[in-house]
Amino acid sequence: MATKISRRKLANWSAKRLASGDPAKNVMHELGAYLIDTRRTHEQSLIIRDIEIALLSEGSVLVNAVAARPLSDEAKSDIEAFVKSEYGSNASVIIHETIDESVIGGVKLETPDKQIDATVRNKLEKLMA
Amino acid sequence: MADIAVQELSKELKNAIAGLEQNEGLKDAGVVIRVGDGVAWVHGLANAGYSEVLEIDTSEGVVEAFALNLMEDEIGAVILGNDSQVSAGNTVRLRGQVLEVPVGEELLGRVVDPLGRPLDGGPAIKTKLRNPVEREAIGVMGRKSVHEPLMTGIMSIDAMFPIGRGQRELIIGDRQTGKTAVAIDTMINQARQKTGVVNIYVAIGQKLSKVARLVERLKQEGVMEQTIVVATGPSDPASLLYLAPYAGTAMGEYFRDNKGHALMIYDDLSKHAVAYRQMSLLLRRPPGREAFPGDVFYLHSRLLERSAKLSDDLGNGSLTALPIIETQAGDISAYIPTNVISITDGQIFMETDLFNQGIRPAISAGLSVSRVGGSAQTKAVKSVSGNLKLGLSQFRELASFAQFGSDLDAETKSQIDRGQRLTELLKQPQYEPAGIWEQSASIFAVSQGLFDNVTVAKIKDAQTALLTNLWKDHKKEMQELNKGGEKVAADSPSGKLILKAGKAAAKGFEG
Repeated sequence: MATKISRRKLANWSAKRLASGDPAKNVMHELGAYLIDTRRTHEQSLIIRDIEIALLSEGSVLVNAVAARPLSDEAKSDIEAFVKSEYGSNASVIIHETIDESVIGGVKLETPDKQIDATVRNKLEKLMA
Repeated sequence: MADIAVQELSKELKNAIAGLEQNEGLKDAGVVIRVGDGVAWVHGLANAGYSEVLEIDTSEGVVEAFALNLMEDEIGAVILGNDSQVSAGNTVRLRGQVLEVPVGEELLGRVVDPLGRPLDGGPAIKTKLRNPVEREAIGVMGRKSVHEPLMTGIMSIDAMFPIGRGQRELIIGDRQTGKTAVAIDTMINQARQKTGVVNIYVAIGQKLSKVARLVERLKQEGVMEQTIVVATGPSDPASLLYLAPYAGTAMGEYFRDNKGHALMIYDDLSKHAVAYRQMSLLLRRPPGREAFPGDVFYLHSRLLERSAKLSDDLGNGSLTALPIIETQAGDISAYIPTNVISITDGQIFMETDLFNQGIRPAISAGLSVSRVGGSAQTKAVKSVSGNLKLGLSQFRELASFAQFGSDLDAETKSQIDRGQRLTELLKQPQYEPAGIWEQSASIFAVSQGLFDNVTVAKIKDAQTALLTNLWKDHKKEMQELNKGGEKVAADSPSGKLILKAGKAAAKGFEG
């Protein structure tokens, strides 16, 4: 009986393929076929997270920036500089913006393995606690 | 007036906001993938360490957990609060530290939970120090052999199975045999004899009504000022029951490491093992004997190894442990009892039969033992209790023959008579621990045969008369004897006094 391949190994394989320039569509197609074959499709969202983490070691940082209003170019370049200071100056930073008015102000940055919550809502919650 | 108040408030608020403004930087974060039965499975947090604290962001605030299963794809974490607040998708952050509890003298007189939060309705506990719940035990060179006595005030223990400071002595027996009573009397004796030993009572899954009664009693006896109670009830999550003894030990270690002496009472480790079994099975660790996980021995050995007598270089402090184990139908060969018996430096075995016969404390002379306490026994008690254990064991064996009513030779009969009197003498009501002089005088009187003509039913009365007379007429000598440094023999000054007073006391009760 074939042993189950861990999510981490699958993610590392996918990240390496993506970093070497293989088209994302092809890599995901193969991965999807494997998940269907091994009846592990329920793990797809976790594998995507694992691939994001694995991509960190390949030098790509996916950042989700949550803010109440669209970010200015200046804010985006500040975020990029901050992320580079944490993950190394050679990292390629890809910022994905999410608008959420409930954060009131400030910004929350989520990288695959870390986060920083500098939103007004978080500060208010801490004050209430 | 109002202006000043507003200004102060505004200043406070500004300070609070300034404190929160501090940028803490990026923190490791993961996400809860599933949760249930007090265990959360977390994705991410590749840098988490064993036993590290996790903070789970829920809609009702932050819930703490600690990581116990570190696997390739996920982490199994045990939740320290209410698991119904946690749901899949919640963000989990690494706090970057292992579990810590407040330690220090500020805790004395308080009832706390295993995280150091007050349960007694008193003010918040602010200590200068916090220590990790799990710490490595002191090494070989940091220790010293056990040599100072820790008097329990219970005659049969102090005379036959003496306990020394830094020793681990197991109290084992079935339910309702007086295990906790022995532990409580020991705590009370520390206050009565002003030994300066701090008591730490760890209730593991005990009924909270029982803990409340205990605290009330300790207050009445004036013991609470030198006691810390770490309480967990049956409705608490298994994670808290698991943590309780380690947290209590961390509090005790503060006194040990600061040249003090502390006494730990773990009531009881059977429930602790059961709580750990529950956690382990939910964390999907493979079950072994009696469904306990493979590391259940290590669970208790690493806990009890922290009790120690420290060397002179480390300040001479000590941490003594009295773990309690509940057996089922007197079976001491079950898994957890054999484990803890092998870890500890001896055991006090409580027997249901003796308890039901009215011999209380129901300590079995044959099955109990103290492996290191002999060298810690006070000279006074040691000098009178030489053959006590052997005599009592032989008597209990002979007594079973005597039941048949067959003719006995004179020697056997006298052995049985003496045994009956000794057994009667060693009966001791709860909450009445005896001092060194009371113990030495009583045992000396019986072993010298002063009470041989006193009827068995009146032995306790004769003992009371002896002690009353001695205290009334020779208070100074008895106070000196209570220091324990003096041997009691037929030709010693104190021995002569006891012999004289004993003969006088016996006269009134001969029959």
